[in-house]
Amino acid sequence: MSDHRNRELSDRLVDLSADFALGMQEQGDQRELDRLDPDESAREAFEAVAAELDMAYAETDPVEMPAGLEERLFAAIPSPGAQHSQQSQPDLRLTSDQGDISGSPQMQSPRAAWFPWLIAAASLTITAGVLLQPTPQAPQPAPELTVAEKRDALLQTHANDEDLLRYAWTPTGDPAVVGEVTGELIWDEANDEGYMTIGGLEVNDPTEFQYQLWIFDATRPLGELPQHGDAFGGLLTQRPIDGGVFDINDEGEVVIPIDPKLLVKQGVAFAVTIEPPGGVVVSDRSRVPLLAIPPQG
Amino acid sequence: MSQVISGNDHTPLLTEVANGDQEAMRTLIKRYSGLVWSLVRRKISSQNDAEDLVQEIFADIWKSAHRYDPSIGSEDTFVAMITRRRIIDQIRRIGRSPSQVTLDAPNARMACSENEDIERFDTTPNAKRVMRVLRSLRPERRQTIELAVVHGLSHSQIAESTGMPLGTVKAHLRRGLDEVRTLLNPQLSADSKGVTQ
Repeated sequence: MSDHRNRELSDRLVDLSADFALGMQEQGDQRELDRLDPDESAREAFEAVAAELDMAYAETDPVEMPAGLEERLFAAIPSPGAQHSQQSQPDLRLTSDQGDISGSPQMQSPRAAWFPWLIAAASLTITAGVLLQPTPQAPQPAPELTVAEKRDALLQTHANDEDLLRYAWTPTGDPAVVGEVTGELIWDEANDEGYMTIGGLEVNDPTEFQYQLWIFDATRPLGELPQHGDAFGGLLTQRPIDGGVFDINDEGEVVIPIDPKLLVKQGVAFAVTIEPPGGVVVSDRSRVPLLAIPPQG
Repeated sequence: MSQVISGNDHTPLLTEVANGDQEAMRTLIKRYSGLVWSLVRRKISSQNDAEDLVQEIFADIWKSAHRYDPSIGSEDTFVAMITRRRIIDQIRRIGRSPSQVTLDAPNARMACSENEDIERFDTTPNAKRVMRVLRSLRPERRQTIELAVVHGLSHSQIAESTGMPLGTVKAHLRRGLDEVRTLLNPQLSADSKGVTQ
């Protein structure tokens, strides 16, 4: 194959290959890219550059792997009798759907790995039902927990430890605070799970504005937004993590799951802002009705 | 803390994996699971989705190992390329644009920002080399590359978060990546690209 790593590329091929490597390919570009880069070496060269950059960051700032994941990866390795197929030629191009990778002789994807166990579990359930229940009953699916129930479960999980961050709301003078503010914010850092209960905020019309939660992570750099002052050791000068957009209805205190868009390593303060519908990438923090911050003093 | 281990100093395993060697696959998982997890977790916010994706990635590596040519490229780059492809697929599959996954990307740690001493990073020599190359770029190019590559922001999200015009963002990204490709070229020609046709 020709090697695009060691030669100049046309500007257009650079554009198309870079977009491809970043997953930002535009509609209609694929045919032109195939024509300019028939052996795919240019796009692979850019993919390799992106991979090198991504690896450098990952190696510099690694994320701790969850317990048990490595064992699950080991368990998915095919048995000795399974033939390793080299006949299939997976298309390594970036497509919206790369097809099934869980064929029998292949290493099993998570769902495929679970499938035999699900069959076995289902068989056991049926057998137990026949043996133990004089009157056959249709299996009842486990009900989906409501957000409030999930919050209660999280509180119950941490009933006997101090691993759950739990802050009462600190209201500001923003006009969206229309009554006595009730509720709290809870956050389980180990599992990136948390909930807000909120009462006392103005009911919003989602087509006009929405509320948005922001999470301040102590591991993130400070000082990027110095206009936000020195409070809390300068914590508010960092750019926080988006914790999700939500609405307030007229049903009293509402329960809202926190939906962080990135891994939160050490959430230490939280702020609710008012933003245009859909939320924003960077808040100007012109309206901040609620804070959830460490107790002062 | 799981260590992210660069495969640069290891004997490549993918040839053995391609022959169905289970023990080689176990060693490969031990070697790269930390790296793959770190690449995935910073772009996929759901831990469950991230764990599923890591398993799919290793399934893909098992399936694609025969395409690796050690005479052309390093094993860790091959693994990272497959990982990135799967992450991009996943983001498309679940209906979230990369920008929605990382709305706060400008806040992300800029590991090669001017005021940090690269030599003091507890990381691999290869990562330091890449960081030095990145730091040599114009700041706006470096910033857009970090936001796109490391945090998965789209052109439009980078434009919104940095205040740069969309066309400027695209130009910085495209020219910046090409500049990195050129600057890394002496090393890349020896050890970068492992996917063969």
